[in-house]
Amino acid sequence: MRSAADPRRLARLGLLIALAGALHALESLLPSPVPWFRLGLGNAVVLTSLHLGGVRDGAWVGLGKVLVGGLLTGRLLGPGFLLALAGTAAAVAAMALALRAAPPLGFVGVSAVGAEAHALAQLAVASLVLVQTPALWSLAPLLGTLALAAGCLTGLVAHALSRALDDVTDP
Amino acid sequence: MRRRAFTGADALLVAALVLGNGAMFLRGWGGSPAAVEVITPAGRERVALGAPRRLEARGPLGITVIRVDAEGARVESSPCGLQLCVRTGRVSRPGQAVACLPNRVAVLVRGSRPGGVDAVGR
Repeated sequence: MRSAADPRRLARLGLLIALAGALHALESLLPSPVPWFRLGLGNAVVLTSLHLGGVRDGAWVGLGKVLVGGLLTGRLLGPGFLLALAGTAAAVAAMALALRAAPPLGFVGVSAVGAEAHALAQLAVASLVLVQTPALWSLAPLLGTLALAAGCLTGLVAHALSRALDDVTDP
Repeated sequence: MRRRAFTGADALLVAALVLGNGAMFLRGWGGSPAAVEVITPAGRERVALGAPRRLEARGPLGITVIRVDAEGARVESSPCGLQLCVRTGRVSRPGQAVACLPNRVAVLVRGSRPGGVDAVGR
């Protein structure tokens, strides 16, 4: 295990946070058929970080993704920020658990779980804090399924990204 | 540190999650509250939500009075001892239920089916 201040690790974290933040910001600017729904490519980077560096690295990239993304889009501390934070936190937790508890799972499965957790956490926060109508949960099956599909895709992206970084950063 | 991209376990997990979403949908969560189903020993009856109404459901102990309005339903009175059904209060989300077990009456909130969401605002 390398020490926490290992320059290689810091460089990798910096790279991944920048990447995740940029992807998050860019996605939020693109039009989407269902409001709030994004592909979540930033989460692919988070998963890569989880895989390569463990829970802490994954958490750092998750936090960085939301902060950097918020700074880039100028929407810091708004409702979108709160939702992104909740969703990413849930995704990090779910993916970390899946990585730890289920070795036979591949990237796609872990990412799918993360995406589902992301969507449900956002619904929960939205219904508790923002909208306060129970009818919001009626979106759950739709958003959940869309999130699943996106999660599978981002899982493949995470796999490719992990492979690429593995070759570059590990001795 | 080698993890595969897609394994058999993944396929199973994704299938399970898809089923989970489907289950949420079928349980009436895939829509806004649209009706309540009143279940008594005599049978089931579906009552659409709308203007406030008063329903009487007959069970072995007597009549359970149910109030239905545009947002949900609640049990107003019932001939049971503990009055848990009355104390439950309103139910308004698809999937929620209130029941008087001694009198064998249940009220389930049902959602509308596909197309239940009319609009989503940003």
